[in-house]
Amino acid sequence: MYIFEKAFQIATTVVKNIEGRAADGGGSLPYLISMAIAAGPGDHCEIGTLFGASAISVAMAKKEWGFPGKVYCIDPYIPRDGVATNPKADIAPELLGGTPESLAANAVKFGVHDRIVLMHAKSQPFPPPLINNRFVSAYIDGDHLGSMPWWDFLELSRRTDHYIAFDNFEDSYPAVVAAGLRAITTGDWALFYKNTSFVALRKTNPSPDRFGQEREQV
Amino acid sequence: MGKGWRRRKDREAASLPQKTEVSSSAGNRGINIWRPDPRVEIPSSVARQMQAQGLRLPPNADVITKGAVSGSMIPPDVSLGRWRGLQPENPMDIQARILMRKGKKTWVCMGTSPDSCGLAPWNEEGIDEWIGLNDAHQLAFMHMDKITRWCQVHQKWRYIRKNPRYDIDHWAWLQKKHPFPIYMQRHDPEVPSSVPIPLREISERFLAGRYTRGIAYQRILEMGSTFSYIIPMAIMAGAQRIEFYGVELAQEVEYMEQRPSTEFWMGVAGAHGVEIHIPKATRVLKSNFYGYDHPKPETAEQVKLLEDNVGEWNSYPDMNEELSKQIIFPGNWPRAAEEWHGRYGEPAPSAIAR
Repeated sequence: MYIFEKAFQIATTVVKNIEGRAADGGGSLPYLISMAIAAGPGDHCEIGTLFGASAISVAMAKKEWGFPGKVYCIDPYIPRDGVATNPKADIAPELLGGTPESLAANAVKFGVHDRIVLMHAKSQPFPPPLINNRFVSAYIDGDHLGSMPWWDFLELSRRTDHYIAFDNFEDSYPAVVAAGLRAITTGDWALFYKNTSFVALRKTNPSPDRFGQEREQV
Repeated sequence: MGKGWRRRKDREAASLPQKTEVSSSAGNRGINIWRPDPRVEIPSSVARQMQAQGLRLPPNADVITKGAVSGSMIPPDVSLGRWRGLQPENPMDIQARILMRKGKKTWVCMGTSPDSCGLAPWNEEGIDEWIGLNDAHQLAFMHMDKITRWCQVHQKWRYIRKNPRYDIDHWAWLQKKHPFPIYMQRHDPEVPSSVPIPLREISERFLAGRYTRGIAYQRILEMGSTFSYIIPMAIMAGAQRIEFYGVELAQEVEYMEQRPSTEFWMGVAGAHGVEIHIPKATRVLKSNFYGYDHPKPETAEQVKLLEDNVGEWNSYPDMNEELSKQIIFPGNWPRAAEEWHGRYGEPAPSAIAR
């Protein structure tokens, strides 16, 4: 209970004080924070950052619990083509105004600038400095259309040890829903919990053998 | 209010930052920002010409093929849209294929097509052998811990090359010792798990003296794809059922050259009493019902003359009757639930004894 209570407090602080806006009005933040804390010490990765509410929340939570680990944010800060005119992409116009500078300013404001690293690049191809990184948790909130949610999951699933969450797991974003369901059917990830539009998956097969890169020599 | 509440509030006040104004000069100095070098995209055809002329590619170059996402794990020659519809197999089909496997030595052959690789029965029972191919070991859907055999039938110049579309090294993977054999043209001392394909045995058993072209019997015939080696090897190893997932052979070269060969070997397997299983979505072994149902009439007059000869075939029992009784179709769920509760609803006798 303490975890969620504290997560809620951190989320409230972030939503009230952030410059810019938190996605979904910050409704998913307590769940994201709870997941990141359940994942324990280690790095967190998120795809899709904008003003940084989620990244800052996780960084603050890690700081609060005394966990080592950085938050890697991957965002090219390029509004997706046609996103403003796509009726299904129900995104507030002011959310599209995020910049690396606004993220940096918010990180400084909340005192977690030393824990946040921005990869100012697209998630495909995956940023080379992170190719060999391991994360304890990850959050997918990037491009919600087409194959991108699934590709983001593929990239993160091979590098994440405990939890991966999708935001906007809802009817408006069928590609996100499809990616989440497919992720569960891989057999390696199980549904951990789901809020209205936030879904967290837990790794059930922690074998590093998955991609043949670390196979024990026989 | 208790003291605990106050202590907690104090702790929050100490740990959480208060609303403070941030000067605009904070800019992006506050966090570490990594930016990729500006990349130059070079079409693969141009890159090949440069290499042929001895010109070095610039270090920030991405060699791209049409449809590629450079550096991605997604193969470039697969149309991106095709990765969208990957669905798990229908529960009825899963039940059926598990029942069909019973008592049969079953091989599963994994291709890489996104159209059906997601249907693979990784967690199902009754499978004796899993065989994969080429550089698919790094694809996300592969469960390498299940693999029992591997195939890399290409020449060395091809399997040692660094394929820019992936971020791992296939050649390095081949050079490691694996707990399964890797079938290759010959044993490569640099590939410790490599095992020669029994090409001579395949040829003698399935081809020699049976097929002629011109004046000569064909010794090597219809070896048009990796599956053309896998299928006869499976037959010789005693497989009684071979299942294919991710085997579509629908790209241009595959369609023209590889699919007929694979279908030929599927036919050979059938003639040797081996069951072949493919998912419904798979395009191989799927032709028009020529004459009866194809070509289709083109004019209204021709439509009027259309005979319903196919109708007789609709009533032909496709499914083994015994099998259809065992599969729990949605209409039979209440009965199945009743049976299940009848059998398992009571506590086990050992539990009562305790």
